Amino acid sequence: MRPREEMAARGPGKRGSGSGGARGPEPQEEPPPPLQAVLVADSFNRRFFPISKDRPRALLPLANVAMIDYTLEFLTATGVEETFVFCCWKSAEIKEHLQKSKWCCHTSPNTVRFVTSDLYRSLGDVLRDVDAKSLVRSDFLLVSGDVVSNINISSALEEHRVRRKLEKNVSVMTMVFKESSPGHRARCQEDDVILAMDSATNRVLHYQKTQGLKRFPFPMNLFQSNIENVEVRHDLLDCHISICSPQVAELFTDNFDYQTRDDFVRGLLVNEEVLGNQIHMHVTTEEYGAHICNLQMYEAVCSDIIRRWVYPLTPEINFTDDPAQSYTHSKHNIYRGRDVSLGHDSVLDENVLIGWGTIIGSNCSITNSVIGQNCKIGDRVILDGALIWNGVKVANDAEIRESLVCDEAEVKESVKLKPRCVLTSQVVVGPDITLPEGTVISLHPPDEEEEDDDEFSDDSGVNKEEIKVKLKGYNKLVVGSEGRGYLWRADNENEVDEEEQRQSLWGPHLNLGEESETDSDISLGSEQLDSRSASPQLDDIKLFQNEVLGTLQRGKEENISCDNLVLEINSLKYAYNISLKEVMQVLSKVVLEFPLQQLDGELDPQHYCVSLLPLLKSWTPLFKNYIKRASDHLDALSAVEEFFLEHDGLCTSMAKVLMAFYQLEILEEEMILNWFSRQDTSDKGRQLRRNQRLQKFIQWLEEAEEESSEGDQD
Amino acid sequence: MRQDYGPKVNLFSHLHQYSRKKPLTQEMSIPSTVIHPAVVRLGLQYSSGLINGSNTRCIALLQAFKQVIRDYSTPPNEELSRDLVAKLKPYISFLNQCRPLSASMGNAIKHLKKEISGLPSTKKEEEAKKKLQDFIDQFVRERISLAAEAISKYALEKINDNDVILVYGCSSLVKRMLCDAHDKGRVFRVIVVDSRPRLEGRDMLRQLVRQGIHCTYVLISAISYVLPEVSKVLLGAHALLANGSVMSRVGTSQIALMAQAYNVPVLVCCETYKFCERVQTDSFVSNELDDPDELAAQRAGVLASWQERPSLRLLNLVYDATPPGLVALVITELGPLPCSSVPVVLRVKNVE
Repeated sequence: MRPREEMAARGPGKRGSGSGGARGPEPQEEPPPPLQAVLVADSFNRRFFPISKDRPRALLPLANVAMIDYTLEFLTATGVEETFVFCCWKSAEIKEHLQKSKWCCHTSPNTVRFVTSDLYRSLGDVLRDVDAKSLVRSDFLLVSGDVVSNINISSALEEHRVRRKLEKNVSVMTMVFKESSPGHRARCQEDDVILAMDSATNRVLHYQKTQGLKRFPFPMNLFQSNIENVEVRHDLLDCHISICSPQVAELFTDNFDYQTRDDFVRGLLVNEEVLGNQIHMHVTTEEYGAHICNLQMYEAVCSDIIRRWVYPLTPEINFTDDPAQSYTHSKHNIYRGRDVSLGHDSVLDENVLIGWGTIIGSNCSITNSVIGQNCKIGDRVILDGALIWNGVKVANDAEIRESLVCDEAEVKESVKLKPRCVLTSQVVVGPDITLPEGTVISLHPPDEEEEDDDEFSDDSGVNKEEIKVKLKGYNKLVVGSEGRGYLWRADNENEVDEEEQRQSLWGPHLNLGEESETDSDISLGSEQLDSRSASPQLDDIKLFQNEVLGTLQRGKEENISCDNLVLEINSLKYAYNISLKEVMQVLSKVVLEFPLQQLDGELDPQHYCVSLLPLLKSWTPLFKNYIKRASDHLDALSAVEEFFLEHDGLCTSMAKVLMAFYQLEILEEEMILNWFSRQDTSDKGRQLRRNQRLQKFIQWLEEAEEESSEGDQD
Repeated sequence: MRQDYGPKVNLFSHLHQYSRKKPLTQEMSIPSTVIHPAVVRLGLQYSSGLINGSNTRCIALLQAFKQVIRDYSTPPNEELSRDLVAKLKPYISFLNQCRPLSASMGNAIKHLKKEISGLPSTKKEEEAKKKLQDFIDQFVRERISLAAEAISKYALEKINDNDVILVYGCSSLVKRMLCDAHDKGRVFRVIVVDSRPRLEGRDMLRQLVRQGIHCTYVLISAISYVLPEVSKVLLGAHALLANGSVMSRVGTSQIALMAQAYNVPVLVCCETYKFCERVQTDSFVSNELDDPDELAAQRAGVLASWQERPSLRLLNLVYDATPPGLVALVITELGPLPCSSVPVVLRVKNVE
C-alpha cells in the first residue's frame, strides 16, 4: 500500500478523501491502475497576448499563485498519481517553475513528468503524441493548465469505469460540468455550451457552442430515438476536465484533423452510429470548476478564489508550501502576507489579498483587489478590482479600477486606469494621465506579432532587439511623459483587428449580453424557418403530387386495384391537408404527365396517345371516384387544359384524350361542351379551342347529343 | 373546528398548531353559502403561507372585506349596520382558524366594525356601502402606505453614510426604508440576518441586492460574529404592545439582546395601526405555532419520523416578545418615539 503512505505524507489542507473512492476501498478482483493525467500547459492561442509574451499562460499568478499550481493541486487532491505536463510556449520557464515547486519533490504523491516539444500546435498534437509514446495505460484525466477546481472526480471516475466495464469500450470520455445558471460570472461566454443528454445514462447526445445565439437547431433524430428522457441543458459550465480512456488518444491519431476537444466531441457525436463511441457527462452542483480562457475569466476566477468559492484552495491554506505565500485571513476576506505594512487611515474594504513585503501608504482605499509581493503603493491610492502582480510600483494619488498590472510595472503619480486596462511587465505610465477603458500597454511593440509567425517558439526573441531599437520612441501622449511602452489596442490597424484584439484579451464583455438580445434573432435556424413558413402551401401540393405519382407508378407496376389506390390517395389527401378540388387537379395532371416519363420528354402526340389511353382505361374507377359533381368535371377539364397549354406539342392529341375520357364515361358530354363554351378563358385557351381536331370532336359531340335527344323523343 | 396537528410542546399546548401540507379544504367543511368566496380564497392563501407578513395580510384582508361589502345586500327587515357585523363574524372566525389573526388584522377589523356600527340607519344601502368601501381604501392609504412613507422619512435621518445596518428577516417596511435611503444617495452596507425554517431573509436580500445595496447574508447563529461592525440594528415589528414589548418574528429578541451586549442601538419600525392594547411580557402566553414539519423538512433524514418518537416534540414558534429595555427607539409615522409611549398613542388615537 505504498500510495496510501504517500497520501498520509501529504501536507495539511489536502483533501485525502479525494483519492479514497477512486482507488476503491477493498481489494477487488483487479485493483484499478494508478490514475494518470495529461495536463496541457499551453492554450495554443494568443488570447493572453501580450501578457503571455513575458510569461506563459500557465504561470500567470491567480491570487499570487501560478495557475498551473491550482491545476496540479486539483489533480493531486483528486487522486492522480502521475501527471504528464505538456509544454510548448516558454516550456523552459514552466519546467523551471515546477521543478522548484513541491510537485517535483520526491515526497509528492503525484509524479510530474515533462513532455516538451515546440512542434505542438494544438491539443490534437499533444494527444497524438500521447498515443505515439503510449504514455497512458488506462483511463486518464485530461485538463489544461488553466483549470481551477475543487471537484472531487472520484465519483465521476467510478461511473466512467463502470460504464466502460458494462459495455466494453463504448464510452470513451466523460466530461465534467458544473451546474450554474446562464449569465453566471464564471461562465465564459465564448465557452458557453448547450447540450442534450440522455437523463438516464448521462450520455451526451448533442453538443453545441452557443456563440451568443438565442435559437438553436437540434437534429430531429435526437427526439425520435428510443431514449426515454432527453434533457436539453443550458445551465452547465464546461469545466474543461475530462476523463478519457486511452481510446481518445487513438481516435486523435486516427483523425488527424481533430485539433481541439470540441472537434473531437463533435466528430464523435456525428459518427456515433458508425464508430459506436459514446461520450458521457458528469454534472456537479456543489463544487467549483472553471477554465480561464480570457482575462475576464481570469478576473472572475481570481475573485472567486478570494471569496473562497474554491475552498479548500484558498490563499491562506498555502497549498504550494511556499513560505512567501503564507497569509492570514481575516473578516471580509482580507488576506495579508508577512511583512505587509499599511499606512495610516488606509482602508482594506473587502476581498483584498496583499502579498509578502508589500508596502501601502496612507489614506489608501483598497477593495476587491489582489496585490502581489514586494509592491510599493503610495499615498491616497484607490484600488478597486485591481489585479497587481509582483514588484509593481504605484505612486501617490493613482487610481486603478478593474485593471491588470503585471510584474514590475510602474504607475506614476495621479494616473487613472479605467476598467479593463492592462499594463504588462515593466511598463511605465504617467504621470498625470488617464488611460481610457480597455487600454493595453506592453513593452513589446504590437507589430512584432506579425513578424514572428512561429508564435509558439522562443525564437522570437532574436529579432526582438532590432525592432525595439527601431521603435524606441514611445508615444508620450499615450503612456505619459515618463512612460515606457507601446499601445496595444491596435488603433492603427483596421477595425476587425481591434475587435479581435479586444475579444482575445478580455473576451466578450458582459454588456454584450444586452446587445445580443437584438442581434440574436439572426440565429442559425431562423432563415430556414422563415422560408418554410412563407410558402408551406405550395410545398404541400408539390409533395402530394409526388406522392400521388409514386402511388400510381406502384399501382401500375404491381397491378394494385383501383380501390386500394383510392384509399392511398385519400390518406395522402389527409396527410397533406389537400382539398378535393386540388386532388382532382393533381390527379388529372399526374395521369396526363405519366406517359411523358416513359417517353423521356419526347413530345410526340402519336406515342403519347398510345401510351396514355391504356392507362386511362385501367384507372377509370379512380377518376370516377373523384369526378362526381359538375364542378369536379370542370376542375378535371381545366386541369387537362392546363396540361395541354403547358405542352404545346401535344395539343393535337387533346381531342383524342377528351374522347377517351368521354368514352370511358369519366366526363359527360354536357360538361365538355360546357367547358368548351366557357368565356372566361385566356388567349391561349381560346387558341387551344380553335384546334381543328378539338372542334371536330366538339361538333361530333353536339351532333351525338342531338341524336340522343332525338332518339329520346322517338 | 380545525384539528390540531401532531404533538405539541407542553408549554405551548394552549396554542393551535396546524399543518401547512394538509389541505384545509379536507380538514374542515367550508359552507360556501355562508362564507364569501373571496374570504375562502383568502383563508386558503393564509393557511398555505402564500400571503405572509403582517402588512400584506392586513391589506389582503381589507381587500377581501371590500369585496364582501360590495356583494352585500341587506335582507328585508334588517338593519345594515347590525346585519353586516353579524355577517362578518363567521368570516373572521373562519380566517382565524386558517391562521391566527395578526394584531394588525385585529386592529383593522376593530376599526371596520366600529365604522359599520357607527353608520346612521337613515342612510341608504348604496351610500352606506360606498362609505364603507371608501373607509377601507382610506385606512389602507393612511394607516399603511402613507405611514410607511412617513416612517421612511424619519428613518432617513437615522441612517448615516457608511453605516452598517443589520436587518432581520423580511419586513416590508424596513425593506422600503433601506431602498428609499439608498435612492436618496446614502452610502451604507446591510447585513441581512436570516433564520430557518422560513429563510425569509433571502427575499429581503434579493430585493436589496437588486437595488444595488451592498449586502452580507448570515444566519442568526452568526450574529455575534458580525455585530462588532454593525452600527445600527433595524427591525420590523408584528405588533407593539401596551407595555412596550415588541412582538416580531422569532429571533428578534435574541438579536436585540446581542445588540445591547455590543452597544449597538436597536431601532424598531412600526406603523401605529399595529399598536395593541394587550400587555405581554413573555412569548409563551400568546403566540403562534407554525407547522412543525417545516423544521423537519431540511433535515428530513434525521427528523423524518419525528412524530413516531414519543419523547420528541418540535416547536416552530412564529413570534417572540422583545422587552422594551432592549429597544432604543420606535420609528412610527408620528415620529421617533420610545417604546413606553404606546399607551399614550393609543389613548390619543382612541380620542380621535
